[in-house]
Amino acid sequence: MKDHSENTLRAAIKSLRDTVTPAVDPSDPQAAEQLRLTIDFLEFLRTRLYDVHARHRYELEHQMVVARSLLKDAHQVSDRVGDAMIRALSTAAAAHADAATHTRDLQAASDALWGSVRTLVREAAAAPEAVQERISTSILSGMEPLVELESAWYLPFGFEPDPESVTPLADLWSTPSGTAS
Amino acid sequence: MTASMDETEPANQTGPDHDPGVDLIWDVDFDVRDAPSAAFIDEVRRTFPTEPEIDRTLTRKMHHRSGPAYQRPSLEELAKHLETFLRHELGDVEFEVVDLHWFTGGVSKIQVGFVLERREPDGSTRSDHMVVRMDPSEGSNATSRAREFELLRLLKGTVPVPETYFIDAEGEFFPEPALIYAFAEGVTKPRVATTGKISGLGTNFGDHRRLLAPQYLQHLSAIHNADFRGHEFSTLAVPEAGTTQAAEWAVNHALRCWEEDRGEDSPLMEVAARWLRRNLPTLDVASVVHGDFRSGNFLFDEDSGRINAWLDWERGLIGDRHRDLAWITLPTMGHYDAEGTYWVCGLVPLDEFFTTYEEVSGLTVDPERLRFYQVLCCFSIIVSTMASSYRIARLGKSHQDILLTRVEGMVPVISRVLIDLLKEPVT
Repeated sequence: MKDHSENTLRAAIKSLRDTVTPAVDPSDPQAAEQLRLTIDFLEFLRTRLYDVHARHRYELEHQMVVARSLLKDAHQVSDRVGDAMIRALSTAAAAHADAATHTRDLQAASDALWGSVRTLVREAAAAPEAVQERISTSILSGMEPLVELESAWYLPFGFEPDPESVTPLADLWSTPSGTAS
Repeated sequence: MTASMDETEPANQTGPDHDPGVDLIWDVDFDVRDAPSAAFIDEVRRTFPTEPEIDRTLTRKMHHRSGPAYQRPSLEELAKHLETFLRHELGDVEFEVVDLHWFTGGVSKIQVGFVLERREPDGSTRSDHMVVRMDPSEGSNATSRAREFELLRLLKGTVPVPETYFIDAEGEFFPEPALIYAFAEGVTKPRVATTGKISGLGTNFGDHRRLLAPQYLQHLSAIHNADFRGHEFSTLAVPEAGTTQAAEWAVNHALRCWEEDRGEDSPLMEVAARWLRRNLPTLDVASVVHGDFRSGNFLFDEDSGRINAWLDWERGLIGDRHRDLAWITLPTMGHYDAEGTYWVCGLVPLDEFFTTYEEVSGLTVDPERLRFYQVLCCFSIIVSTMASSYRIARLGKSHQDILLTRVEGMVPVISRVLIDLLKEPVT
């Protein structure tokens, strides 16, 4: 049998909307508000359910681009920092290249890679000004595709001031970073 | 002012006693924040020194974090806490609590309305509509009810604020710290308003703009010009003008919350933290700062358009007025009309806002300080929406966990603003 999770979510949403909502005590506005938010989130999850793995792959791919742009400066800060970043990058590249990598392992690779970048920025506080500036500039440029993903992911929540300008998720999945492997 | 709780003894400042087991540069286990060790709490306090009441409040938060998840009390249970507290406060006065009911809308605080009926010395009965405003086990902003109470008293007569009645600063009578103030009449948005967000963000006031906008600017001006000299404060600290102290306190407050609450790394936040530390501006004159001066936080009469009360002073402080100006001009706080014009708080077009503020207040707007506080406000919002909300929902600590997880959607919007600000050259 194929996975029926999306179908089940539809049923859960219908149940909450049609059966549970009318039964909520009208004198308890917080209960009514939280039920509405819960239904809303289940609907959001239904639309994202089969994109979660693709999101983790996209994030790891673009995080590797950021880390690679920092490697030279990482070694200039210290060998320990540079070596830690190389190890994290190596694990990340292997996880990304293997189609069988579990979603949780993609996330673990992302966490380790971002941890190495945090260490670099904090250890670089004593490095020459030019090195610190290069690190900041590389990170700011590299963050943009990741923020673009978050905008697309959370678009249904209604916070985007210009929703029309947000790239659809499907378009992001088909746009390679070009330097992931 | 003093910080008297045992759990806020001064943080370890020096080397020999400092626990080397906590390493904020290399450690990668974020789950330690679920039940932080004394060494972790101490290390974060030592690394990010801030004003005493903020330190006390955040230290309390960290000491309480490993406690049980929030359990919604019944109204009957709350009534018992309330009556015990009022008995303590009112002594021999005969009183009765009636019509206890939940309020909705508070993201970070639990709010319950009631009527206090009490016997006056002449035998008559006095009825007051009141609100209990109480912390959950942990809120998205760990703030001080005692400070909020002190600010409300300070601003009485300067701008419309609810009358303050009682304070349980340490949660001796309620499950958590709570204040009681007067119920204020009014609405936060016109009945026909459109707002696609939560907590009053992005409200379109429509025809009410004309009436509300002048009051909004006058009230902001009155707060920033409020004279607090000669006041003895127990929770508010006054930063020294001519120094970077105000900015330093504010930056360390934000950085400390990030370190205490986050469940992940963010290189963008690391770059922003570095930028903030290196660009601390000097304060010209200390002002009262509301901290969240936007739609959703004032009540007005829909017929007359008169603002009846300014609420939610939990982020209030004495510091740099540019903190308020930066906060309210962020894109998530206002409203874009069909022509693409951005309305500050949904009331004043952005391109007129600063000029009009200068005219009304007689205070200047310094673009560099504004930019610094814009970066800081972006940083603080990402702390609340990405870090604190995550930690609270993970541990089930609040009455609004489901709402707190939703505000993650603000992170990319604010991140874009932050990136643009950080890319601008420093002049």
